[in-house]
Amino acid sequence: MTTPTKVLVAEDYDDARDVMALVLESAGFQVIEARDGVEALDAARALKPAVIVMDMFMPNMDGLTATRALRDEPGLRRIPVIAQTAQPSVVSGARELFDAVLAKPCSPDLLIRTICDVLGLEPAV
Amino acid sequence: MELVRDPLLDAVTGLASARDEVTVCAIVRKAARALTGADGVTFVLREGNHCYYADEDAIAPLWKGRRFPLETCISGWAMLNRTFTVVPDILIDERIPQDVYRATFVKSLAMVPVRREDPIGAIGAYWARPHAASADEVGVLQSLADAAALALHNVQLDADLQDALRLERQARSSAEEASRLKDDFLALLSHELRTPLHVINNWLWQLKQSKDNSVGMLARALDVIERNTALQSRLVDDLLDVSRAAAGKLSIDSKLVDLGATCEAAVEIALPAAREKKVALELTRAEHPRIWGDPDRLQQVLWNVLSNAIKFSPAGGQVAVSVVRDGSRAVIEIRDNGAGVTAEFLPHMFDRFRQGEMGMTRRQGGLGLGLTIVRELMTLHGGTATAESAGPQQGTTIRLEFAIAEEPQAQSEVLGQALRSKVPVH
Repeated sequence: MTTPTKVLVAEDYDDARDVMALVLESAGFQVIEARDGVEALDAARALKPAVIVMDMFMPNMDGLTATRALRDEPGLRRIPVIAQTAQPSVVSGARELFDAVLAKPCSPDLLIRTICDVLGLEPAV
Repeated sequence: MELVRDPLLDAVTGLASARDEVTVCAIVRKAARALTGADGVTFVLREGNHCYYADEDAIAPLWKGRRFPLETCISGWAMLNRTFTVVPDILIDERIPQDVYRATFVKSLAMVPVRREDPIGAIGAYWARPHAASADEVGVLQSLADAAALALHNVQLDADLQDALRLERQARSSAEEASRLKDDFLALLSHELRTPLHVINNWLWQLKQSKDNSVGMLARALDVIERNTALQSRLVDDLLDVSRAAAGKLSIDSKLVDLGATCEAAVEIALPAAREKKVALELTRAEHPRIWGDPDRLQQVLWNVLSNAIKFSPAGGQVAVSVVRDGSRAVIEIRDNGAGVTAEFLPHMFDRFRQGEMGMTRRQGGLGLGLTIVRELMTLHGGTATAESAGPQQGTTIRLEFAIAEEPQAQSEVLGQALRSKVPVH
């Protein structure tokens, strides 16, 4: 049995984070949850996820700032980051930071396919 | 051939490019003396019914900075009569206020109005000896005065132009500000509508693809979907209210309402939200003034204010509601000890599209329309909504004021109270 791929979901809205965790677990991923940019950076350092799904508007540290910090940190800079936001215009000036940008509402199929694309995996679902 | 500089020409050239009153005065007083050989000159401006001695150039001080009624001095005479005058000997001219002249060197003078058709000032030339100013002297003085009139007119035009430009710039920048607020609002609206939709979509996908959904899972899904649908409905309702208000189409259906009972109900409705946030919500004082109002809309007003107060209070915070009579007014106060408001934001709290906290790390959702709707509805009720805050983290108080309705049943209420007071207390 192979170890499931670790996906870090950074999302401040509880209802959204909960259901995304369920969805991604159904698709066979192991999900790590973070409620803001600060938690996302801590979790990325401690748990080394394979990929991060990052919300943009979050308290304490927004997703854009957190992703910039990731890209500046030697141990983390290679982790792919998928921006998933209800306001895609906020990443238009920093598109190069992200491996993919998804607009909310985003179907789980598209999210799963994008994660697989980014990681070069065959879709599990 | 020697080039003779003409002082009048110099003055006219200088006046043509003068951009302010001080420069005009300076050129006039210098040129007037040079042109007439007078021992002193004054530049007088009309200020309503007074002459203002704005500037002077003389062998000894005259009246610089002083004001006299037009009819008591010779410059006033020249302005009122729109013509020049020559006084060869001040001692034998009735128009001269002797006491004002006694302290000066002046023995004779000539005075010309500035802008002959409707004088705005005068130029005076003074001699320390009796002297009948010649027609040439008066003529050159009047030419200078005419040039000064034109220069002052230009200065005024220039000032008007600058004012107009400043107003135009202000208007443009406030239009740009309004347009920016609207753009920000539309981005926010899009964000706030998409967020619950994302949650609902994900749950539907999850329920569909999962082979066997447990009862617990279904209940959880329904709970979340219900909450997010309600959130979206509220956004849409608020949006409709604001656009109706902007079109002047928001209306209320008034009847006699007991404001105390209205607040009791509103607090009851808001209690679950307060409990969830661990905020103590309390009706501290409830008098029962009656007003003319729309019960549903009044609940909406109170819910908007209360939900804001709860939203911006920390866990352990307090929200206190009171209803009191204040003369002919009924006053509801909703006081919280939460996030408070900066002095800069306070005047904009009830404005459309405004929120105190913007940017990517904002903690609170919503469109920032709640208080705008409150203000619109209060206006429809003939009331007012005002906010106070001592600053960030100092809490906020929202004050809603209504006119108390004329009480036709005041009698029966007194009777009712009298009867109630007879009910034995257990």
